[in-house]
Amino acid sequence: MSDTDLVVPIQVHALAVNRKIRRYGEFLRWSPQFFLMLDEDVRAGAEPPPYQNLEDTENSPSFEGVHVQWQLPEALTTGFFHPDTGDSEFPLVPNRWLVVRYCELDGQRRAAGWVVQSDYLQNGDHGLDVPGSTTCLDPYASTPTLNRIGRAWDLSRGRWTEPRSGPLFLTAVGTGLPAFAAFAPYHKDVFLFHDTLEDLKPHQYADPPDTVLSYAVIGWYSDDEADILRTAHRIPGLVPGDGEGLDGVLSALGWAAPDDMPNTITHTRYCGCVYGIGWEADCQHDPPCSHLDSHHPDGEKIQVAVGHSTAEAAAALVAQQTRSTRSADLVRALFADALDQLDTADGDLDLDEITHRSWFSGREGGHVWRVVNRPLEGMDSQPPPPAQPEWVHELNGDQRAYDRLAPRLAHDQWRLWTLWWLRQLPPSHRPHDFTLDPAAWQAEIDRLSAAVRDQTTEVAEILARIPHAMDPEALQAEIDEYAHRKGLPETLELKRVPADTYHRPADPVVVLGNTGNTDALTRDEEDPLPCRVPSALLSEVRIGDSWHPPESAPPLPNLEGLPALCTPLLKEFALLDRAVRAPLDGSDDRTALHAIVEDPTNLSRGAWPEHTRCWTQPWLPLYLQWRVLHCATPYQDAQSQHWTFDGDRYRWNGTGAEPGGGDGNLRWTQFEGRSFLTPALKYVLREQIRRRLPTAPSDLVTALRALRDDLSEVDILSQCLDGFGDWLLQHDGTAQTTTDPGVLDLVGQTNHVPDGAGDRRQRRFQPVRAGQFVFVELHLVDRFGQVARMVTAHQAQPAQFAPIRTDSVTPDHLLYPNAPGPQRFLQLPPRLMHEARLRFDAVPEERGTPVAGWLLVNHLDQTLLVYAADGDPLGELRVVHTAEGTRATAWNALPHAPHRHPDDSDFQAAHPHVAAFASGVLGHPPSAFDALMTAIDTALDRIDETSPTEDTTPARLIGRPVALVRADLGLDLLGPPLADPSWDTALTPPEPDYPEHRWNVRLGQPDRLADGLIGYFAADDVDEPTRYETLYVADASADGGYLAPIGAGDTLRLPARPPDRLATHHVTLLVCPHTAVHATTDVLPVHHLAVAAEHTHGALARIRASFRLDPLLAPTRRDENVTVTTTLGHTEGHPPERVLDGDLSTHYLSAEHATSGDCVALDLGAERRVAGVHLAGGDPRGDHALGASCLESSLDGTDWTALTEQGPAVEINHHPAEPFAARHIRLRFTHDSDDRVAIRQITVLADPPEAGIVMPRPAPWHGVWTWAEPLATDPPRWTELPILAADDLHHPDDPIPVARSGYLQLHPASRNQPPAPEGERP
Amino acid sequence: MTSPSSGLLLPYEVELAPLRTAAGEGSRVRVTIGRAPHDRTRWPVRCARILLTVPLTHAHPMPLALRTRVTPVASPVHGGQWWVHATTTDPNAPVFTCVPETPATFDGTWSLTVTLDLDQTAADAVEVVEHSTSGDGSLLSHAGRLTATRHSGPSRSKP
Repeated sequence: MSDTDLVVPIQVHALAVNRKIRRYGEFLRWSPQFFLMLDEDVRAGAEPPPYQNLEDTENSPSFEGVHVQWQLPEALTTGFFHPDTGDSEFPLVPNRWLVVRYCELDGQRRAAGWVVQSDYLQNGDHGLDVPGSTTCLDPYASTPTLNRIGRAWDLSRGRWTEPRSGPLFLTAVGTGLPAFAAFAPYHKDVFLFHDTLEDLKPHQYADPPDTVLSYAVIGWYSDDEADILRTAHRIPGLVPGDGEGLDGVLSALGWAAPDDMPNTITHTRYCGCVYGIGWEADCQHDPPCSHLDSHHPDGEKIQVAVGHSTAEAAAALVAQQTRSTRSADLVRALFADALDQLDTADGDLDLDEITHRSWFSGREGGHVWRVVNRPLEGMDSQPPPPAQPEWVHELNGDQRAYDRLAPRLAHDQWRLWTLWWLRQLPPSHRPHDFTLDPAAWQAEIDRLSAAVRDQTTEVAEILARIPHAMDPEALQAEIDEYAHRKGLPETLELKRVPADTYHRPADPVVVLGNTGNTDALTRDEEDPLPCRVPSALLSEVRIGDSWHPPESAPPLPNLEGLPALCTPLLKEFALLDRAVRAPLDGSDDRTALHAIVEDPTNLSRGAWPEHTRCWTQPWLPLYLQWRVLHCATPYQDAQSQHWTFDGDRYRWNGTGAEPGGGDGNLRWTQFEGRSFLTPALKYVLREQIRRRLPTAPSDLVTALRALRDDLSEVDILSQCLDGFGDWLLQHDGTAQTTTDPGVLDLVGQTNHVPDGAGDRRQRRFQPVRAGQFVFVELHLVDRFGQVARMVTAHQAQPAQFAPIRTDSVTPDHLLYPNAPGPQRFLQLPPRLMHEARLRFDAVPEERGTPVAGWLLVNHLDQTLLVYAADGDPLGELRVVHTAEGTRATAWNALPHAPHRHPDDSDFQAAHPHVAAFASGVLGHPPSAFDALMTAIDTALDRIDETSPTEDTTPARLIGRPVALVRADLGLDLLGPPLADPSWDTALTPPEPDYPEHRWNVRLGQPDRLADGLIGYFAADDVDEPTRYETLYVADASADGGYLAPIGAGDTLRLPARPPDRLATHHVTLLVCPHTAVHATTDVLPVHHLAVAAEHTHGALARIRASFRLDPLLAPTRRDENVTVTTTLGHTEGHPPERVLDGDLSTHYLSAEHATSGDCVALDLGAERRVAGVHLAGGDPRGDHALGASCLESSLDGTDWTALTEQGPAVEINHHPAEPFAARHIRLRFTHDSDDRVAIRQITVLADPPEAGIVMPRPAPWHGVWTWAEPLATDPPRWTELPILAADDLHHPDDPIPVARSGYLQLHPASRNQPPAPEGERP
Repeated sequence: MTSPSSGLLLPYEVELAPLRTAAGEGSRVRVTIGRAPHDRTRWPVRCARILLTVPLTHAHPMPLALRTRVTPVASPVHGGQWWVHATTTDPNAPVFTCVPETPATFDGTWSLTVTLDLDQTAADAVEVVEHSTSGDGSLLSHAGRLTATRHSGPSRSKP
């Protein structure tokens, strides 16, 4: 036989149900109820609600037997996103399965076989007069039509004859049920065969005899063209571009090619077996024999942790298991990929913030368009940001319109869908006394239809003007094409930047430990599924003391008409079945197969079939199913607010729980649900550990390894209580159908239908979630419907349930006095169920600069220096002693300040916020000024600058600059307010009050080093101007005079408003300009505001440090103050200063040969009028003459102007026709020279310098110092004098020193200025 | 009690047993349809829908927690598959709609059992409306009221 087939291993599970298990075993099994979904008198969901429509297994003898289920390879159950349709596309799966059973009766091994026709349709073109086994929707029908799928053909009735069939359709999700291939009741005779063992009974009323059973399952595609090897390349995203050939396909599927795989492979065959099922029809043992080796857990021993996110709940579970908060933090950090933050100074806070963020799901908040520089390869620095073309503003206008309109359209579509859906439901869905007014409903439907139609058109028109596409590559192509059309140069590119995300709380999460799960989420990529070829099946196994090859003629069913490969595969099956029937010496329950499975390398020859193992009763957790009772504890009602924000989270006051007639005389609603369980948590942690271990710091490595080892031992499953949030909004997410394409054209595809709460006791519309809940039922359900019950609604059991509660779900107060089982109550703190976002932005540039001004604390003078947004000086605040001997806060204008006093109208007009700030300080007693200075100092001591090295401005000589930043705060809802879809309100929903609820915003995190807030000024309310009478600071002891404590943010209480009436609180922040400010609300993730560098760098560089000196006794003097520098170094005894000593017998001699670019430069100390330059080169002996050079001048030491250019010379004379302005003169060499340079003298003919003030000159490390003093003019003007260094020499011409009052000022040094002379450098 | 009661074509057995639920005392209502030990029924009876209204002893302010079970049937003649749909819009009396995938033909050789677990107390009577016909006639609504046989011992609660 040539190897044309690839044998792919599959897992086969066999559930043995004997009488005892049927009667006393616990099952929750249900089937799809498409029939009820399509029944116009019922209109139910496609799957029954939890705990309803269950199969009565207890009273159904037909349930007994062996349920053989095969699990498709992972690659065939994975959906792939189709870029054209936007849907997930699943590959076709094998649709024919041979099931062969071996048993031993009367010492003889017997075979029976069936062919499962997985895609058989009862009502189809080729349907036989045989009922299909499982209800389904007809895959070929254009409208939802009921059918039944799957049948099994007993080969004892004759050979298999392949029927004619249409195009294959069978996938792992069947007709849209995600659990189709996983949950046994969904796929009988599709991926499961129920062997009733009828053929083994000696007569109709007898039990099947006790025996040992084995099953082999072999699958294939009835049409080779549908084989995954042929279709893989057509599935978008499955096979990567370079995955050519069979190897590429197998690699994409996660399958390992067998050694020396021939190139003749064209088909896949799927094979799996289960060996050694001990069948005892009437076993009386307790537990049943078949459960002895099962992993089925005791439900009461399953650990249940509940939190707001998987990471949080898992951490709580781990903390309890290990008694170590460190391990719990490690789990949180790994899950959030935040290991790097774990041991930082703010690590705990960072982790808490990340964890809190994980309690929310995000939703796109729109986009902003920008033209940016296209990154240049190999360039370290980029040119400055380009100006935005006019068309970008237009594009952003369209984008804003779209971002505003799209949610409005979605809102109206949902309203339309609500009315349409409710109206078409049969009357049994309405409250028993509800009367529907058909005319009124139709009128509203018509009105909404028209509105939706108009808005759809408008949105489409806007969208047509915006580059857009679903696929990222297509989107980029659209953007590029748009930019090209607009003529954008190649050096620039158009970028779409996401706007701030909207958030909605995620559903609570349950994490389970000790579930008995042994199934991994996915196969390790490094351990692909080992496939085999027919020529390399098992050749021998060791049974007892000898090796045994496959039998040449084992018992086989009628294999005529089946793939030829079935025979060798069944021979291999027979060989291993023989092993499972051979007991190991000295063992009652172990067989030769047990030994072989444990050591296949030494006890078998040939390619070992993956997944081969001895049977145990399966336990394969699939679903979490629950029923909870929920009691709302509203955030507020007409009387009062029932929750209090403590600065980090909301705490329930213990009041306001909704009254009703239920337990505790409260109103309860009931939420049921089920969702898939996954071992994703364990998988994520394992992969994260693997990824992080190689680079983890040594102290973490040990902890990570320990956690990895622990994880390999434990089983953890997790799942959120899917749909909890939707349920609170009365959105029903169960699969439904509508047959009216007209309404779908208007409302689009929707995953939900409104729940009108026909049972009014179930009305619970809660756009602001807050409450407590308890589990009254909680079950794990496995693939076969087996159950592990953690909570069951039986007597007092629910009250005994003790979940592990995270802090965030632990109630602040007992819901009602003497509530039974207080340990089971779980709290849901207030959350906006409407998508919302915290807007915390610096004011946009069209409303001025975000930075209103700058402050510098001058500790020398105990003053607060105040600067404008651009760094220009304004004044200083200080405490002075008045003539009356009292202290008062005063304002002094700084040198060159354009305004005199903050109370002046010109000051207020030019710098309104700085003026208001200064006036605020001046309006308080001096103690307020002292408190302000202390508050700034205290905060700056704590604040860690993330990048202080960037700030090398001279202002830091005085202290760290503080920015006055104007910011807007708002809570924005996405679209119009949500409407209650209950029957009683659906037609005319009442105006919801939640957009008027107020929510605290606490700015700053004083415990966090990386929070830059010092304090803030707030407005009286939203949309009011900022007031500067009170500065809110972190210090809780602030007396409420000028400084008041931020506390829990009670001064910033914001409503969450829809887009048509946004509310904004205008605040002014005192912040460290380099460190972000955090805004905490609890109801949304923590938000940060950082001032963009473009608003700080320029201003900080301009700020002059000013030190007041009063009085200063100093004369003025004119001083040449010329300095010389060179790049050439100097020879000992010939320093560069020799060129200025007026002595032609001395000279400067360089240390090195001059090369092109070297220079000797003079700094005249100030800008002067230069009439000529004379330069005497060479030493007195005429050696070391000048090489080719250029004489240049400059005003700033950066931009140079050539004066003369000459070849090698001894003297250079430059006498321009007109004097020129210069401060710097240099001789720059233009060629490399092989000689050193000597210069005897440089003479600059220039106007005498301005007079300077004589005083000890501060070191010029950071720039140039000057002296500024006011002139007696009105308005006051300032004169600024250079500082001449005081010396010990006699200066008979100096005027008499006078007492002066003024400021020492530091002018920032230019990076290109020559360095300070040696000896003056730090 | 075993029917048919006046108006109903099919025989019913309704058993009522107390159920110790988390909410207190509830009821297990077990309705067996098509079993006629005394064989007073005119077989066959074709049936497409059965509505069971279970009045409660009093309207409870708490939502009704319920569990419904149906015994599987074997063939299309028995209806293929039966489903139960619960409606609780009337707090005084939940309604359970029992529907087969195809109209089922009862002939006395098989029966269908619907088990309804309620966490509230059911009254002794169950109201039934069946869409049925004898022989091959048209399906018509037939209504009747059945009195349950009350069992005193609590029912065993499965998961």
